[in-house]
Amino acid sequence: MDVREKKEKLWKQEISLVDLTTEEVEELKKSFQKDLRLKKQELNRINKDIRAMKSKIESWSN
Amino acid sequence: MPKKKKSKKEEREEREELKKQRLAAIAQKREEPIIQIDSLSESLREEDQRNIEYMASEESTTSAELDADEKIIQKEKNAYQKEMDSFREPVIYDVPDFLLDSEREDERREIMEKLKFLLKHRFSLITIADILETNDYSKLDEIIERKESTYTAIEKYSAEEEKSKIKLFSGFKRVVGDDCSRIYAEQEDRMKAVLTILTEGKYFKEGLDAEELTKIIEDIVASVIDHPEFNLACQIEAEFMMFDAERAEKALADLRSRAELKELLGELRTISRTAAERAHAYSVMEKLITGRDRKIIPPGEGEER
Repeated sequence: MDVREKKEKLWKQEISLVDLTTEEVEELKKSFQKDLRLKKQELNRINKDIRAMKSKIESWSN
Repeated sequence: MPKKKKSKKEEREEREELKKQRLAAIAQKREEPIIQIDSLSESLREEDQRNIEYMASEESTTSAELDADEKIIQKEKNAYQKEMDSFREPVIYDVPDFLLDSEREDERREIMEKLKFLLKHRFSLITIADILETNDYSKLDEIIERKESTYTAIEKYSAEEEKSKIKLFSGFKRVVGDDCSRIYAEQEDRMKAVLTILTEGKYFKEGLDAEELTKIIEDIVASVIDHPEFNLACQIEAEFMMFDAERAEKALADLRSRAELKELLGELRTISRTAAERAHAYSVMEKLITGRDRKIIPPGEGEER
């Protein structure tokens, strides 16, 4: 089972933390940290788009 | 003078009165067995109550029927007791010969010193309990040898490494939990009581005979052994103590790492959910403004359909 499969199974809660070895935990931790960074960027982008749209709508009413 | 004929009302009242008296007599007769079987299960008592109600409704109960009921209750009581007894395994503890022979004082002292050594080093109390229970003192040397060759977490750290030691023990406490430590401490006191009886030779001083001594030791040892939480605490502690410092630190680091991964997953789930909700909200807003079925039209860009 490669890292991607392990991540998927852990994410879907098909396996639990106790099923992982110490090395696997470390490996997955790095990978999930990367995912978290990307997800935070995505959320920032969406928030930015929403703010832009809100400003646009407010400008119409002026 | 002719006896006045009772009215129907009076007859009914008389019948009611008789009925009440019969019920009271039945209840009184049944009261005694209820108290006697107070220790029985709730189901038995309920059954008994049902019997009373049933008999009252019948309005006729002979002493023969009551006796028959008594027999049934007694039978059920015996069956219940037998079932309860089957869960209790008798503890068989023989007082070792060397304890009863005052000429073997040296042997007694030697063995007790070894047991105290294990207790002092907080080596799994269950091991000591096992020895006391089975009287197999030949295992003592083997265990002590193992203990001395084991590089325990406590001994690994010198006084200069106090901080690391505290860190290690706080980690251990976290793993074991306060409850386990409390249970362990309680049981340790019991074990010390056993050793006190044995080492101080209280049976001589207080003139206890073999039977009394057996009873005392049997009770204390049984109370230590038949305690699942205590066994768990011992197991965890023994495993922990068998670690060398490096392994113990690795285990704690692993625990921390797993906790971090768990926390990471939680944060990722929250952010993913928030991002998905906002992305959906954005797409709805976008559709409203620019889509076919738009509801909002910027001023000066056309008329509403």
